[in-house]
Amino acid sequence: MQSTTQDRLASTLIQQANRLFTSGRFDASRMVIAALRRSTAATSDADHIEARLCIAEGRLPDALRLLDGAIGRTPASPALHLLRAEARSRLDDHAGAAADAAEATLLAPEDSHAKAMLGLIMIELGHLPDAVACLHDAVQRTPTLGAAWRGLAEAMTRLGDSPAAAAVHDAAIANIPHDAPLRLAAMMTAMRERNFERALALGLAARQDGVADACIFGLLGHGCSKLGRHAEAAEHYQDALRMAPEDPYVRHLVRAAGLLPDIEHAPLPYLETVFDGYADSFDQHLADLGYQVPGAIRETLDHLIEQNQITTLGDVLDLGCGTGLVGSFIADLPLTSLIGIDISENMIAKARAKGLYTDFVVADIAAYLNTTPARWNVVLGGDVLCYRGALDSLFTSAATALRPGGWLICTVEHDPTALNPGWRLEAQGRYTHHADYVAACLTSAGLQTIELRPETLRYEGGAPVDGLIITARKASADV
Amino acid sequence: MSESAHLDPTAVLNRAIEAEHAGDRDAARSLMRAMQQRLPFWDEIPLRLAESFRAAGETTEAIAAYEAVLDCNPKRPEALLALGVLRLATGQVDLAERLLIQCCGIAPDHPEAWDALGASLLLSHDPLAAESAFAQAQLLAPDSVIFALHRTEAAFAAGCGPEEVARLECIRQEDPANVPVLAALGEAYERLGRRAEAIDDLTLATMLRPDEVLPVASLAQCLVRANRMIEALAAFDRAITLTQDQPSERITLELRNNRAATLLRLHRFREAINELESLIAQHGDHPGLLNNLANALVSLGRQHEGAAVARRAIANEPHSNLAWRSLCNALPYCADTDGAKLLAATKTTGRQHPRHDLPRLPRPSDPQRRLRVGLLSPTLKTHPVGWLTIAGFENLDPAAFELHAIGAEHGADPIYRRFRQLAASWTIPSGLGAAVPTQIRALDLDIVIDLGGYGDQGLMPLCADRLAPLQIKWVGSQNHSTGLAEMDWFITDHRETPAGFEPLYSERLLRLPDGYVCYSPPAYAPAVASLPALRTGAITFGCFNNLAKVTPTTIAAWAAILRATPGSRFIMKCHQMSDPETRDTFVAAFAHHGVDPTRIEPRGGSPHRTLLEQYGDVDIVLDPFPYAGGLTTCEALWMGVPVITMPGEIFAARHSASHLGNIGLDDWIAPDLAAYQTQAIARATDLPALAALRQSLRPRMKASPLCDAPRFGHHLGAALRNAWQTACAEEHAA
Repeated sequence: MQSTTQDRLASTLIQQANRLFTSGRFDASRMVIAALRRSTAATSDADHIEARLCIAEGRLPDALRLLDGAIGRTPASPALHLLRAEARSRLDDHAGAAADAAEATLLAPEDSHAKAMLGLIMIELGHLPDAVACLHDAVQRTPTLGAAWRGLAEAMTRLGDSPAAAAVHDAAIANIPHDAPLRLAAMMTAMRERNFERALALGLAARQDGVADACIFGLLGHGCSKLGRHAEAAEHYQDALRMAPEDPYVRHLVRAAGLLPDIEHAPLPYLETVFDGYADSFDQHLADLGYQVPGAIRETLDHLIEQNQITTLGDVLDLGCGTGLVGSFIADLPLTSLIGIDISENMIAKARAKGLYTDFVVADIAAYLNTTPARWNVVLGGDVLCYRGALDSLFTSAATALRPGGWLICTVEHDPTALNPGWRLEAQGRYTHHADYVAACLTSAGLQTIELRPETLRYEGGAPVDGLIITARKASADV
Repeated sequence: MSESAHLDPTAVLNRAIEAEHAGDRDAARSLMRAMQQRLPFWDEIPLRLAESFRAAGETTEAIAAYEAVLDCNPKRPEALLALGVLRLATGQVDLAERLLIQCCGIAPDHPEAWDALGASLLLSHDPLAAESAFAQAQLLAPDSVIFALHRTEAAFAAGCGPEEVARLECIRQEDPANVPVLAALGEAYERLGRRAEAIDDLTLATMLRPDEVLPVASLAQCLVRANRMIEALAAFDRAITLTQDQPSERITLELRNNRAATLLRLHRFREAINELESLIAQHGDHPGLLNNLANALVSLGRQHEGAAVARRAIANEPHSNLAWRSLCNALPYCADTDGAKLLAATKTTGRQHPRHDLPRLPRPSDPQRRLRVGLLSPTLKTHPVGWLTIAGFENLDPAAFELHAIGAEHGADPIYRRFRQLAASWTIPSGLGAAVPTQIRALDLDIVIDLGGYGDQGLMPLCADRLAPLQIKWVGSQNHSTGLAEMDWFITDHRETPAGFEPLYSERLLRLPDGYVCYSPPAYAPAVASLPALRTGAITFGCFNNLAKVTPTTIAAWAAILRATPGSRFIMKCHQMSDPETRDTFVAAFAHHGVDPTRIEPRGGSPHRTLLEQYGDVDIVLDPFPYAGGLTTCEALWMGVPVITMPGEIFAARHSASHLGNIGLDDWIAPDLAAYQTQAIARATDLPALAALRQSLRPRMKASPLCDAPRFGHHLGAALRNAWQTACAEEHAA
């Protein structure tokens, strides 16, 4: 009798912990598990939910410890094996994960989740044909498994078969039309292939089918923007904002489209998100755009060295270093040190891999310049001021961080036709600055404007993006 | 008597107790009185007698009997405790406190005595001492939920809510399955507005101890506030089952009334009416019951019955603001309500709200400075208030206005999240009496905009205590003038409140240049469908408004239009139509006017996107009257369906006219009933015109002031500034 009551209580609490976990309430789920542990005997079900929670919270060794124990006691549980496969996979133990997923498929041959998991791990292991076979089997058995469909399309893409990947996405959407992540995956694939027309068609179809999701609207806006359809993009961004009002990325896009009152710089989480996601393809992406900035900075430095008969540039700070493109253009110059600073950790990881910089700082450039006691001979800012509106305080901080006689060399995007001599947030989400404004800010920061040279920074949609290469100098101590 | 005189006194007393238990109270008391005469110094006899009186609710007799006990034995703890509790119940707090302190001194291991002492200290406004007393009770009975809840209540009353939460969380860390602590944490989180956590902990408490009524009753209330009505109903059912064996009629009545209110929110109006009528039959005209009944009747289209019930509540308690609020909520739906009559009712209602002795607020000054604006509303979320105001607030100049929200939070709701982004702060009103206005006044607001009125959980009555130097009424049960003397301005427009209507309002009017609201259409709205009449070959009229707005006169007018339009059909879509009996009644009303029931298609509630999609089946919307469609009209127009309206005198009667006027459809506004009918019949004959208008409506609306958020935000900002500047100028002149 006592044990039945206990069992019933345990089962109720496990259900509740699972329910809370599934709805993303991890803290609450943990509280229920604590009560469960206190008031009932240990079971593998309890281990299972606790291990799930550990995985979700990134406590992978704890999860493995629980799962090893539970599998030791209940070796024939496919659910426990599948969960350990997930934990191992996250610890990059793909072989171990594959063994667990394979065990789960043996224990439950009809379980399409196990098949799907095995397929997804096969992608990680690079066994693409095996992945395709498993994932295909999984979606055949359970056509509502969105993750399996997405994995299948990804495997096809990695196999270089874009039409097949697109066909998989189409079939998946037909099967589970209300799966928003699937619609997004299909759109992202099309965007990556720069097939903006397909991305737009997919987004509009999703919208028509009632899949209202901020990311879908955001991507629709992106797609329209890439195709130069800015008015439509603005509407999509506005819808995205309605769905995800707290998303700084979406808010920034909406402001850029002129739909909300302006702010002075792009939100930091926006920059982090955009550039963290960008890191893998950043260099290639910019090369595609005909990127001129690092070359122009190199040219400017060469000119300075020659004009001023400089033997060493001294300590150089590269603001918004990104993946280290500027570094790769100037690293052979006579530098004492080259420090890169960027908000995106992923970008810095790429830059670090180039082996050209002395060190890096992950920080917002304004916050860093405001607080650092370090002083520099040269401060570079290649394509970083386009993420800021007002420049006065940034230039003032830069001036403080420069040693006497030090140089500030940076770029801004410039709209020569702009009537307002200030700055403006443009539809593509970046700021343009007027030359007069830049000069005024330099002066008020106590910097001498040496040159504001017009230059094409890159090409977008075949059109040149105009910019200015700014050269300014802090007065020497003896002046 | 002679028999008992020879018996052992204990045996006689036992017989008396048996008789009392068997329900033969007279016999029991007669035996006890006889014994009392024989043994006047034995305190046990008056004690049993007192308990008999107390059980029967005979308070005066019980008090006398307990005093008799104490005459025999001044240290009898049961008598000290019971008498203390009775004195407390009769409002003699000082007397109660003395008795209870004495009791705690004599029987310090008696948790109930400490609990009662805590209650009396709380009533005598010494929450810190009360908290200590409850803590002692809890120490003696750590398993008791009620003592734990009382302690938490006292801690909050002492202003130590966050500290109490920290204390409880520490205990929970050590003992995660401690039910009293979980229940108390649930209450504490709820008080701090951390509703999701409150629900989690109360749910866990009910799972760990399913027979305990308090956690499940608290859970039910939290679920109601979280708008999780189905779960709330189940929790109320469970709580009511658990209280069946308990003597407290008050708790049972409260639970059942709250359950009925939950049925109302679930749109199960008929069940709610049955339950409330049965409760009224058992317990009499309790104001809470009558209030819910009035709402239920109005919701079923029985407007006059609803108003009559509200008047009954007023007759019982002429100064009950709850009763008057019920009347104010019923009258705008009644066909014969005119502006003057409604204003009289709202003015009387406004006078009933409690007003506390609070310090005078700072006088308005500095006409140009950035203003702190409070948005007072329980519904800053996906709700008409949200749909019709959010775009305006988003487009106020942030350099000129700083917004502060006051009201409930709404989790993941998308419009709530938009408000959350706008608000510099979010205050959840908590506390009793003057505590709430004091809490809001601490925000140091310049302007408070009420966005809730007398609606469900509306906070407008707080404005009676003047929360800011300037108070303005806008959307949110904005059916007419608030009648509240402290409400300074009323946001409207020239169509809602034409020139000459000023005497029907107690506030000054802030007339916006276009419409008084800005509609923010949902991103998920389906595309506009083609004209259904071209597909079906006959006109389909429709109305997707709340049934409360449909009076017998409205049905008669609609029936006349259907009779004059051969082959036409009518779709009535609202939550109430999910109930078969309500559907039958509705269809029968048309049959009564000679319309074949097969021409009437009642449709129940559905998800919002589906609702919008169903406008694809409607050619022309017939607006109800006297209470016109508001958000519903905007939605119909966004879905390409034109609306014929007949504005009346009160504010709620003119919403559709405002919206139609703002998108250039003035010719769809009928001046009277005859024109309303004639126009509907005539429009139904011109399908090409209807088809063309349908396809043009959404772009027309997008380009119109009704959806032009930046333009609206500018106007709203100018109106708020104007109100502020006027107040500054008047202050200066004074």
